[in-house]
Amino acid sequence: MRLQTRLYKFSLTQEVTIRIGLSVLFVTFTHQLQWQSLRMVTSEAILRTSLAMGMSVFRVSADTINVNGTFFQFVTACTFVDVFMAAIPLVWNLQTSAARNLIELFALAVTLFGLNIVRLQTAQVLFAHGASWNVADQVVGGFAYFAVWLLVWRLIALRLLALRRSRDHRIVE
Amino acid sequence: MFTSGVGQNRAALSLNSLFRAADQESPRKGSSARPHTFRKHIVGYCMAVLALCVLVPVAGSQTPPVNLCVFDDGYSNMEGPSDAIFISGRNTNNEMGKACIPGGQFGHCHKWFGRCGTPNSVFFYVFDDERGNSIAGPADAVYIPTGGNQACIPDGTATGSCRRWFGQIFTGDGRNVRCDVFDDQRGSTVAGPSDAIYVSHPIPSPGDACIPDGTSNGSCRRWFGQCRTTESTPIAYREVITGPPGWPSGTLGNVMFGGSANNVKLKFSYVGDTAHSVPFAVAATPCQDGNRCVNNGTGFENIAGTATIAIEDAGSGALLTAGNFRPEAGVFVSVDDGNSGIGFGSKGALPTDPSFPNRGVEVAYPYALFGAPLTDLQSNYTFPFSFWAMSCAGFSGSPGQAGPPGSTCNAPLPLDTTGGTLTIISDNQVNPSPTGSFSATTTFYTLSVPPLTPSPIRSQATATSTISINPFGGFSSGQATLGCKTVAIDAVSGGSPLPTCSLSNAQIAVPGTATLTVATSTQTPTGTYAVIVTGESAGQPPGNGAQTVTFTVLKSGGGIVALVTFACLLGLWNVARPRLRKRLVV
Repeated sequence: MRLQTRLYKFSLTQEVTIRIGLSVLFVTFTHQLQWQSLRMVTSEAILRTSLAMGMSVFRVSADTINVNGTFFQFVTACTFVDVFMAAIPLVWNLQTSAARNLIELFALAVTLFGLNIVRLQTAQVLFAHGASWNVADQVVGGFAYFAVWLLVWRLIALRLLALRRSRDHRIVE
Repeated sequence: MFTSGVGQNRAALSLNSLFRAADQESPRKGSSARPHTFRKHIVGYCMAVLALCVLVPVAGSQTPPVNLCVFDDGYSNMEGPSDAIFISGRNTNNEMGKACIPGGQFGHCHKWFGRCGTPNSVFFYVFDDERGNSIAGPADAVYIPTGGNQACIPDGTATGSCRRWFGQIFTGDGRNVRCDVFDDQRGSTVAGPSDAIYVSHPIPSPGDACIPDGTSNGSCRRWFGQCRTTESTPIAYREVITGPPGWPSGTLGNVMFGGSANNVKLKFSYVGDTAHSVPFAVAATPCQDGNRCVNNGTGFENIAGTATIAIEDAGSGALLTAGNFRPEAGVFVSVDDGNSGIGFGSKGALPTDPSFPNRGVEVAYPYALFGAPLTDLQSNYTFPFSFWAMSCAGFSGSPGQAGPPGSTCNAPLPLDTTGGTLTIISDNQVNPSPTGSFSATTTFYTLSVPPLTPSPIRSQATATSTISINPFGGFSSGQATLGCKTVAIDAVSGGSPLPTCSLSNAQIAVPGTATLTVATSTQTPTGTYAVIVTGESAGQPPGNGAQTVTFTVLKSGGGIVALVTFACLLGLWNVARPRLRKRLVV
């Protein structure tokens, strides 16, 4: 509550700066952890979708699979957990309850996990069809980051719009 | 006479009694000591303490002591451990020939001497003057018959295997042991250490133990003991195999050698220490039709080191590939002085192991030489040229998959190395046969290459390792020249293009360090690779040979390209956004 009161004292620019700063801190913190379970779940999802698509796949280790003879290791960046953590300060709504924020974050996490699986599988398909790994994984990854940015931006824009309407309503009254 | 003998031993007994429980049996226990006896007692203890003050630092600077126990049949009534044993020559109480440790007035005597327990196992051989074919053992218990001049070990018969000498002692973890002989006061009477001891005939009443000293009787003292593992001196063994066209032949990882592929030299290296060169004795199978006719196998083996193989083109000397043998391969060095064989074996085990010598141990695989001069593998040695080198799995009779028709060897045994799996085709039928050389030196240097970090390596990334060079035995040459090479072990498309390797300094001081860097590109196929580091100093390769480190190349996500792509898209979006908004407003 105190934080909410304090943040209202900042201008919009200052608030955005603080939120972006927090995002950077969250991402830095995220990469200090191993996220082994999440890496395994992500690699398992790709293993199963690749199998379903008729590719030759087998597990090499907890975070590594072999697809069509090539070894792929799933590092933290492959899980999108860093993207999710970066999004938290950006989409956290100070005007609603923590519970509602958590529900929205859960929905965001599920969305990002799905989006991540789509982009990783797209990378596998492109690589299997001869694209270089830079194109298949990294360029596609860049587009995926941008897609997430658009999603976050949309959420922020909607919230600002709601805030403005509420303020206009109060002025009219 | 015997009493005077015991009197002579008081200092030695009191020295040991310091470590013993106060309730040890003594005829005088409980009796009131007279003042002068008490004074002597105190003086004795003080002298013993002084002796400890002198002895302990000396012992501390030496190798670990190996104490023995005495016991009756079936290891019953075991007493000890003790660092001093005498063989009683006293007829009283049927003590003649018994092994006694300090304690009480006449010592504590039992039929056998030997190991004290499983964690402190110790093993003995018995042998006659010429050793060689007479060696029997090993066993963890020895008894001396009443007549002396013999030492016997259990062999399932009533008397056991008896020879003149006992010795060539080694511990359960494969370290050589030497013992001294000494009189009661120890000090200047100590003679040794020696790996062979005999007891005179008849046994003198106070006891007797003799070690060789070049004279007909040797150096004889009352006690034997102060046993300790031998000094651990680093030693490097090296074996080089060359052959007629096409031989030696086999595969290491992805590399085929010999046959129609190329003519190569195999260079085996092994670094261990002299303390672990332990003796063995194997009775030869009686010669029958179809059986090999060989002498008893008596010699030494060193199984506690690390081994490598390097394969070079026989013509150019260029390194083709290399590997460090993994521990599971059990590569060891042995010499069979009974049959003049020497070389590198595999699946090594101590003489006390159930797989020794013909239930798993391979003495001539990967490669052995024949016609070797005698050695104990504990000092410098050169065998510059053997007329006959042989690779033969199952040579010692160990079981295995049958070899090709006509071969007396088993099918080649795959041995794991960091450069891939090594298999060598048996060449015991090849005429002319391959030849080789073998050497041992205590003056050498080693090359150490720790695993690369990070590992595994991602595409378009680098990994490093800090190489170090260390001299041993006073090796000094100033500088060493390093080189490196990468090979594919199990990579997609044969690993082409290979990861690259580089060294921060091609020339480094000895001792010294350098940084090895391995780099991958986006084109590097994923899979397993090895980087081989070679060295040369004063015309010598490293004592432990070329060092090979395995690493894996993987594809993984994240990277600068993704961020650049995102930044570009963000920039474009930022530029396009006002225009889009204006268009929407219009």
